[in-house]
Amino acid sequence: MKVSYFETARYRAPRQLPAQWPVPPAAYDRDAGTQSYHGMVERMQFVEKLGFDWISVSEHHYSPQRLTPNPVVSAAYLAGYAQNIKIAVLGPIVSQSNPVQVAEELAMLDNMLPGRLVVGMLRGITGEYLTYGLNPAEARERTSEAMELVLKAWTEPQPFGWQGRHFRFRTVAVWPRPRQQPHPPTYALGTSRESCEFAARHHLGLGVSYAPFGVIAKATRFYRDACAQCGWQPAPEHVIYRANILIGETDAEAEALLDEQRRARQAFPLRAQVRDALLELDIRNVAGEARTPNVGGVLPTNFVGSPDTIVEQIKCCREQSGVGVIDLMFQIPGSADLGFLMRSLELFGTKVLPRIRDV
Amino acid sequence: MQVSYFETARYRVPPAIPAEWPVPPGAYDPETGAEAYQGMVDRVQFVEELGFDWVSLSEHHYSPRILTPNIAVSGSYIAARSKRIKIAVLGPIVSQSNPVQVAEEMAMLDTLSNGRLVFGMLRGTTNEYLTFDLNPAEARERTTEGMELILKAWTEPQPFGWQGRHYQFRTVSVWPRPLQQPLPPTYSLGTSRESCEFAARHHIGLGVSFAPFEVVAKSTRYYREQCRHYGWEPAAEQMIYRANILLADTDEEAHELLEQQRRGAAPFPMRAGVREALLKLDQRNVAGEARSPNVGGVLPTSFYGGPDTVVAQIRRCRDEVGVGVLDLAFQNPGAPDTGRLMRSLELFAEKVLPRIREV
Repeated sequence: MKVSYFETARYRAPRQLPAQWPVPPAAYDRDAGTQSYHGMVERMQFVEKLGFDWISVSEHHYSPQRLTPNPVVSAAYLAGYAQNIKIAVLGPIVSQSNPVQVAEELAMLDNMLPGRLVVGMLRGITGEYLTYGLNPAEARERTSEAMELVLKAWTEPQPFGWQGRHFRFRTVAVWPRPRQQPHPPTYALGTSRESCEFAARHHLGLGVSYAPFGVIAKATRFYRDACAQCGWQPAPEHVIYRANILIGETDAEAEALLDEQRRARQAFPLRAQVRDALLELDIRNVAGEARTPNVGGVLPTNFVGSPDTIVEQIKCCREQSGVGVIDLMFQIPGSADLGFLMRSLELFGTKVLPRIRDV
Repeated sequence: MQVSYFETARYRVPPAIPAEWPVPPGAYDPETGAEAYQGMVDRVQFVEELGFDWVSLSEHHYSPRILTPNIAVSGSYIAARSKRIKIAVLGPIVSQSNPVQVAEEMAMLDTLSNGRLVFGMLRGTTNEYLTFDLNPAEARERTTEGMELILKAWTEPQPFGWQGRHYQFRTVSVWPRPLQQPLPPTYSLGTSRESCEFAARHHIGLGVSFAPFEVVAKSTRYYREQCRHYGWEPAAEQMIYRANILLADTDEEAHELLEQQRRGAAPFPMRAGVREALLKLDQRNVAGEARSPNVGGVLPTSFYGGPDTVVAQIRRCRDEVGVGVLDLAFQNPGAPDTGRLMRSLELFAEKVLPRIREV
């Protein structure tokens, strides 16, 4: 099993912030913002030393808890300090991007690293559709078309034109190309049938997140079947699972932490009406079975306990869902106590990591 | 006088590469590309050591010679690898961007660099309109609206909606904000009447480029008049002049280099038919007087000679144009021999820089 540390540029608000979207930018504290970005580098260097394989970043807008509206920009900053660790951009929200620009930025980043970039392409969580005014009904289609375009921009040797339903370019001729050829390890992110089929068709990996093992196992099974139909078999590293983890010295300690966390605030709080409207408009599925998107809710925690317990859970996760990379969130964003985060990372790095290498 | 070094991530273009736009990406060599970005860092560290005030970057697409399609990405990478030099992004092509995204990325970069960002907003050279299929007739309007939106996204304390002619957002509520308050040093780039008036109205700086002293002097004069009209007076640092320089030990040597360069490749070569179409569609002016855009041509070299001659030219530039920052391109992008570039930088720092500080 490979392990990735999910970094969100932890902004610690000096004062209580208004909870609901959109949080007024006047509440932004510049010193706290600067600290949060510098802390990002410290944490990366810390996990690199502990032997983590990847550090991952994600795109979120208008969010005090995740200060990474363009994850390629923060990743380029991290690239300036990284020695060996891979940087996983999971991912740009391609549905509301200019896909040619995404191809350009990621190619730049892969050259800077050089060659240690991992890419995930994302439809975006429902809350993000509010940022740039995306019609949720078009999000899936736009994502598929944009992913096709990004891959083609990276691999087509000659300039080409693109006349899609959602994107049109008379000429695409991206410079630079990625350092890794034909392109960096790339994942379609999401549990949906469309996401699995896209990944299988293009020989890409699949990234799933947060849902319990049983649910994601449906998606990974569907993905492997689809790959078989397309005539290839994915390796375990082709499947990433992003999940919350709460590690304590003992199970009891971890359970107590979980209770505390359940009472904590949601990741992306929304006013009730806005949430309900989005829930009605956004249609999601797991390997074809309809599921309600998580809008403004608390995300489940998938790994909880002492190091021994967590090793067992990781083994169980591998067996049930076939995941080869776990992308771990050690503390919910917005938490004040970063000491806890650092202790968790150390505990994981010393007590868990060496025991799951062969899982 | 303050001095900025214009860095283009020099990709050593092999002589056999097709010259005309669009250059097939199949010709990209990933190893040479990775070297280019590494070289960018080496050169920034070199000029920082030599005492240059800024390093500047510019956005260009589909270009082997200038590998920086997103300058917030290269700016962040440089920020991680430098200490005190200011990072001048001159600039994002606002006319074909998502202005909210530009505001987000630049706020990140200002914070990541500890407040070392200098920010210029650009309409874009004519050839760039081909990248994202921008209608040249709309370019000026889009630039003005985009610039207004960026400034508002940085300064408005509450979430706001934007219903413009070219951009519409139900909600703008950017996190993070820039570190520098109320704004990073910001410039409107371009010699046009509209650019000067925008800068004057918003109390920001003006950046002009490449044209001879007497041409750019028309703009800076018009800009200063407009500033007076709005009741303020710009400082010398609020005017940037980007120019080519050819510095050598002696005047004779510099003249020889200039001859060689005149025979060199234009930065954005284009088929004649495309060039003429763009020339017809794109309307430019200097302080209100019509001028033809430079499409696919060689740019003039404004400073050339031995150190004494260049010092005299810089004095004359300050007297005639009034600029307080020179942003210098020391060698044509795409020139294979970066050794000469490094020697020119050294020579400039040793023999010119100390003598123009008081200019």
